[in-house]
Amino acid sequence: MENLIEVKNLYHRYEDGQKMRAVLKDINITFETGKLYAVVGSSGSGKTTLLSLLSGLDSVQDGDITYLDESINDIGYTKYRKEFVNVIFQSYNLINYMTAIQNVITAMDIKKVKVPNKKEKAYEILENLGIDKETADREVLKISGGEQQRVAIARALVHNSKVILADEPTGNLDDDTEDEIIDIFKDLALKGKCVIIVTHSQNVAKHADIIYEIKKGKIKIKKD
Amino acid sequence: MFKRSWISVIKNKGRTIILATLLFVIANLVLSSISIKSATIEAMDQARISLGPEITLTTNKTDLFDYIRSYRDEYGTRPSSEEINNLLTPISSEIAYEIAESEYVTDFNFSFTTSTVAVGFLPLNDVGTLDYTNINKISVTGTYNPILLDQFGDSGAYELTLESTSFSGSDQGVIIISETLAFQNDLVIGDTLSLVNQEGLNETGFIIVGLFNSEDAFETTGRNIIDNEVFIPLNDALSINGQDYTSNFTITTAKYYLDDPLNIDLFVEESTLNHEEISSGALTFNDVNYDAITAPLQSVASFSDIVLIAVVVAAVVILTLLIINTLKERKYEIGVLLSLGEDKIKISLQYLIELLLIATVAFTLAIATSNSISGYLGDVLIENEVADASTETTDTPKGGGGGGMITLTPLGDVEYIDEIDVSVSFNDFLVTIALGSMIIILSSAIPSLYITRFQPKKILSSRN
Repeated sequence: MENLIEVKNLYHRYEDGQKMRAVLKDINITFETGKLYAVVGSSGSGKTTLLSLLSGLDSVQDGDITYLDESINDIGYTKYRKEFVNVIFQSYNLINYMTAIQNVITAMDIKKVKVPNKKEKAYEILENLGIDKETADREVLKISGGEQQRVAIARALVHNSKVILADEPTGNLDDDTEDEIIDIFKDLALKGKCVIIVTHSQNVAKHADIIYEIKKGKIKIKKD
Repeated sequence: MFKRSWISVIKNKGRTIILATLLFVIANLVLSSISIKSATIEAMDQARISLGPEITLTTNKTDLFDYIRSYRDEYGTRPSSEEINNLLTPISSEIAYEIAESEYVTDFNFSFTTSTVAVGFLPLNDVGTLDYTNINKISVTGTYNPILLDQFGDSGAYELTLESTSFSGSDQGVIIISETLAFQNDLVIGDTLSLVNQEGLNETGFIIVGLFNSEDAFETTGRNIIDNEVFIPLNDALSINGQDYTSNFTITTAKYYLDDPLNIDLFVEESTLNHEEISSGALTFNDVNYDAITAPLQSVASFSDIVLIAVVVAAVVILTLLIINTLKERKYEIGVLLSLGEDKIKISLQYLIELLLIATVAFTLAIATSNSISGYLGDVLIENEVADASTETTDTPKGGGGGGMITLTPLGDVEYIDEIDVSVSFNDFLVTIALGSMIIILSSAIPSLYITRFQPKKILSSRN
């Protein structure tokens, strides 16, 4: 186990009318490899904001986030997103006019994945997540929500980065599919990935190794 | 990036068709404008070649004509000769010789026109008989070589009789007069006559060496003007006028013969650059024949330029707006790509490649259609311009000017070039590709700046 991501004295505010509202206050946490983390909290507690900051989608205002002891500010947000983290969203965020396989290959191209045959590799990753070749060749809007989420996970797995961040990954799925997706995440953690899931689902959270709860902008460990 | 562009072009058929149609229209208009322009330039070059390699430097009389017209309107009479002469800038021999040193000039001929008084013979009146009332109306043209004058050239109306000889260079005391003038005064080749200037000074005697007839010119020019015109060596004409031809003198026209008709524009440009009298407009190169026959072509060429500029500007504006609108539709896709770590510049490049891919198809299709479209547009334009030019009345000076003898006469029937061979050449296509690429790059520039403002978190959270 190694300390992968460290959040240090993190504050984050946003404009609420004419006032600045603090969403996150003095957050200090560490994420390690090989663990499944769940970040829970009520709606508007700031858990998605934390995920945005951890994934480099939003920039740090105050405090610092480091990846292997290097500030992501210094790494550069685009490089950080490209090389060090993969994000899975509740609404999948796939490119609609592309097929499942094209979405996965696009991620491989952007993240400069070097494999002899990208298409074969993409089929293989999708196959491992339960997406057969026929489904992989269909446009993403023509496959089910569960399948789309699997494609989104496949896209996150094309690059061998150590961090996988997921924002309510099962929010749009039925219970059976949710269990299958959770199993995938648990498996990824077992394989040495640092998996951080932001969720309000107790069913998801209970499978986590560590649960952080955000309340009124502060974070505390709920389960260790 | 290229693969993504290709998928986007193939999958977003509606957008691709709209862009392809727009680019197809742009390509056709650009190709048509360029090929029509090329065709007009080629036709104008042909006109240049057909008119020969000579051009004449004269005093600019355009302002003078305006002045005379307004003077006539106000006072009902012409201004005095002195007043007219004061308004004209004569050509100094210094300038004329300097211009003759141009690398384009192979030969030149100067001439000087002045009014003189007949001594020992009488001028003719307007019905071709002796004029006893006014002996003060002999128009003298002094020149190095009369054969090189417009009047005696291939398209000139004057013809020397068989027994005539001419003169050249430093010959002195010889004269060529009208056959009618000689007949009415019982003069023949070998006889002598004399001329003095308007003040009755500088009497000079001449031996008649040649006679000319000019029946064809009577219809357009007053008979007495032609019959009373005589041609003598330049140095004699300058002497009668009181000028010293061995030092600096002034002349009425300087005609230059160039190595190639297509160098006329370069020659004019060079001379204009080197001589303030020309750049200021006091002296001008008389290109009236070329200007007249190519007038419709010049209008078509100008129109093609305007259309080309308008098409390029409109294309950049329309494409820019279209791309910005497309970006709004594709904001979510951009957000996804940014969340995956794609560089903003690569996203801009992807959209540029998409446009270039569509443009390649549109421009290729345009090759097939542009020939017929540009041919049709070229024909319509030239027909309209020829019709417009034919209805216009063109006045041009004729009959000399140094002595204040200025008459406005119509140029006559002009044979306009009324056909151009418009066809899209490989060169036209290359220029169109260059312009098309410029249009696409320019219209992608502003949307690219727009992309740099996109934040993935904002895009994706608004979507979610």
